[in-house]
Amino acid sequence: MALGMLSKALRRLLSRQRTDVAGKGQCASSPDAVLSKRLRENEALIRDAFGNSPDLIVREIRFGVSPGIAVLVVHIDGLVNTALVSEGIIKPIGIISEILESERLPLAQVQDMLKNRLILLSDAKQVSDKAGFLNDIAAGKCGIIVDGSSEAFVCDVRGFEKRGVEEPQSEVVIRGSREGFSETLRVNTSLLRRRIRDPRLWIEEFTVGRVSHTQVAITYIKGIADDKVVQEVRDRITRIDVDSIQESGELEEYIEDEPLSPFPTILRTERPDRVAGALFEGRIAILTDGTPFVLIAPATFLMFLTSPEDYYERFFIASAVRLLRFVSFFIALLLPALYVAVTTFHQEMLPTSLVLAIAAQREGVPFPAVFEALLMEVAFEILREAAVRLPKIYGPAISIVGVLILGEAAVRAGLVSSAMIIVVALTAIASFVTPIFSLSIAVRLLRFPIILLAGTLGLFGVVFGMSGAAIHLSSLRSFGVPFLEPIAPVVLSDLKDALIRLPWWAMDTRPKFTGENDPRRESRGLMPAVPNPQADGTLGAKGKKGPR
Amino acid sequence: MRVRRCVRITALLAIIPVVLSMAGCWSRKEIEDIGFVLSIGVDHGAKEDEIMITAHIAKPFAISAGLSGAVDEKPFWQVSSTGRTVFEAWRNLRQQSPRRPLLHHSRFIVFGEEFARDGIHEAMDFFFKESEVRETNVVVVAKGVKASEILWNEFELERMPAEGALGIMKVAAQELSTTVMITLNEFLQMLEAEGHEAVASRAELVRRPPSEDPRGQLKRETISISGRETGAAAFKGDKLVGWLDKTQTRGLQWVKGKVRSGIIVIEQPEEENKLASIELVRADSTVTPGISDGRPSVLIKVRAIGNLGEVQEDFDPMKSQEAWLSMERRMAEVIRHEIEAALNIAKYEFNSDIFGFGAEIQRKYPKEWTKLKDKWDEEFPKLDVEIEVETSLRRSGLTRRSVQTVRKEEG
Repeated sequence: MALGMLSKALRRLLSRQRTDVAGKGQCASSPDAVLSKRLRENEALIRDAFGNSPDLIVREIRFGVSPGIAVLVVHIDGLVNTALVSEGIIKPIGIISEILESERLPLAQVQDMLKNRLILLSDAKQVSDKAGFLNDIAAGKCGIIVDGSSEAFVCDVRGFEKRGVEEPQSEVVIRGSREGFSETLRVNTSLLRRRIRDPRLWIEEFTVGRVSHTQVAITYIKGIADDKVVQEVRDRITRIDVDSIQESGELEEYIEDEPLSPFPTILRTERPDRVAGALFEGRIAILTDGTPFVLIAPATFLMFLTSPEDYYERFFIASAVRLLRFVSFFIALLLPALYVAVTTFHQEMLPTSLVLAIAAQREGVPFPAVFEALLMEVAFEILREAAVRLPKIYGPAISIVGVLILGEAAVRAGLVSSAMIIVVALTAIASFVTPIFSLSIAVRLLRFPIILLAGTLGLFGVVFGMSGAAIHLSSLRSFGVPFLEPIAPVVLSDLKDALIRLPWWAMDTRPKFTGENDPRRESRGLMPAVPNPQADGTLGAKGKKGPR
Repeated sequence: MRVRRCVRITALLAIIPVVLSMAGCWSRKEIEDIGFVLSIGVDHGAKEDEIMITAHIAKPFAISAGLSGAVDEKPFWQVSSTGRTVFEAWRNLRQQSPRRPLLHHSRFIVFGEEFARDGIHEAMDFFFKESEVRETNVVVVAKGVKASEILWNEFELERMPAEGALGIMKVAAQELSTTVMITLNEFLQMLEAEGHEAVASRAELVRRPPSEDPRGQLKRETISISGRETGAAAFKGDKLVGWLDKTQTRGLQWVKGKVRSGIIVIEQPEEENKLASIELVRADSTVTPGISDGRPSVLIKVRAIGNLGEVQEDFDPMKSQEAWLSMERRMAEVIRHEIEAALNIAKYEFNSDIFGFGAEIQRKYPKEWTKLKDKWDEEFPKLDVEIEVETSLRRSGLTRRSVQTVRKEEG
């Protein structure tokens, strides 16, 4: 509630600033935005535009009977596949030059021959506006300009160093695909295409960022995804008007529903199988060039506590593990707060022997329990952050310092109680159980205000904080889908894949809010059964029973 | 405009922690600033009309010694204070305790015999009203001594006396049924009920001779003052009237249907001077009041199921049905004897209806009870009590036969 008020106030503050950003910039298309007919001017333009950067290659080829025709081949070194450039562009120009040795052809015909008969690359197009041409060059395409024509010719010969498909670092599974997305958009879309081999997998590309010209693709399965939601995603992406987008996290902040919430409402993943699964539920994936993290929207809270492995392991075990994750989520959020509340306000709630054991450990600790908890939590967060940023070779050093000196010595010195160390350690481990990092850091942050509430108001404070969080969470929406669905609102048919997972043959419908277009995902009665021995007599319980 | 809004928001953000830390904390008490009271005793004070409260407070730092090894220190502290009322005496305790005594974890409320004989009514309201006192506290009367003395007893297997006493009481109530475990809640109900006098647990001191260390080198201590919880204390109104021994207590528990387990020793059939033990498995009872010609009567039906646990002489219990049945009959006889023992002492010695027969009559014959109520003290000893005991023996242990030792005839 306080959170809601706060967010409203903040939003009012922020909305003022937003208006003056829009309207600026914009690549204007004035008459001299078109390429010139004179080669020299064009060459000067290109060199000028790139500030004569050394990696810009401008090659002039002159052929035909003198004075002949000059052709400019422009590309950026390192972004193009040089073998392809020489095979596909320089060579054909050589052929045309041989033809022109013997006969004289008009310019238009030369151009046509180049385009349609000689340069046989799969992606080639004609461009005449300056900005478009320059952007294409910057994106790694190769441009060909013939003297005397204002039409340039751009073909895709991109080939640059890229990371291959590797195992994802942040979402590890024991069973399941080892493939992870990489930084290259095209590789990522191909990973999806390989999982969904159907023309109904639709991909739309956008360019976001006035300067970075980052490629962003939205992907969905036509017929399953709701067209209105697709349109909404499109609208939200096209309204972004910024210099640059480097990572999908930046994109996320521009398109999410509740920008001031500590909870993420868009799922991010680097696993193609998770994305494919979400697409089949009618969700939409947003791929950003330059990052392996793909956004999935609409997302629900429970998706953040789900691992793709849940769907591959046997459902009993998967369900138990899911419940465990749910419990860990609450441990990570509440355990230190509950410890503080119970030991400073509600000592009557603990069994006598436990209360005496805790009291014995607290003996001589100079800080109140709430301060002790905050101290240890901050210490742990420092350790964790250090461990993430640290060069790998320092890893053992930090664990020795962290574990031995901070933990052991602090207890020995009587600065903290060992019960608190246990609580903090369990909390820390529980917070790593959450499969999606963006939720687990949200939980880590929320832990602190709840500890403060617990230390000032006891269990009442914990309940107060949790109610606040629950009210806030149930008010969240992700692209129109209630964030806590299917728990609030209760959607019976979706509970089959919520806290527990039913077997695949029982999960026959798509989620209600995203899969309305095509609600059934499988035919009925797929539960395997022992074949009837009377019917075929070959399999089944043969000779198991019966009169002798 | 913008600046003012910023200021307002900053102020709001700054106020939240301030408000929280000022409004909150009013009942905050760090766990190490609390004295956890484990038992509380009530006695007469030294002066006339004074009540003495004895609290048994845990010393956490002496319980788990932490990293520095075992602490050679008693894990509890006993402290007494006096006042004109229980509450005053209780609050006066704070003059001596540096930590705030807290009653939440108290297990026992102990009354000294002297105090109990003079009536406990004046002391009960505090325990009824105070929110810190749990209704699961066990009410105990110390036999022959003051409550403050009985609280000193120690047990070999538990460092905290309250834990030890509770352990003994639980085990005895469940395995032997020779003691009663009456919680504060039950005790208050019995005090307030018509036609049902109260009973409480009975505790006494056991003095063992202190043992000398044989080698005189190692420090070796035996606990010389220990406690025993067995039997029961019988009240009439709010005054203690007497004690029930083990047999009588089990008699009482039979009638109340609270026997959980126990050993019944009977004479072995077909053998002279040999005994057999029967382990009780299940028991229940019904008490049916009746009134004929204005005279009340009570029918007690007890059903008990047991297993043959041992015989002293070799004997095949499957050999004849007669032997089996006779064991069942003897078991019934023992039970009947125990009930009669309890009835006799309650009727003729205490004249106190600790069985709650009056309450049963009131429930079934409310009109007649209004006439009986005032003269129940005369009626109770004259009450006709019929006892029916139905017993059954289920199993005979692992083996059918018994140990057969080859013994040479003498002479």
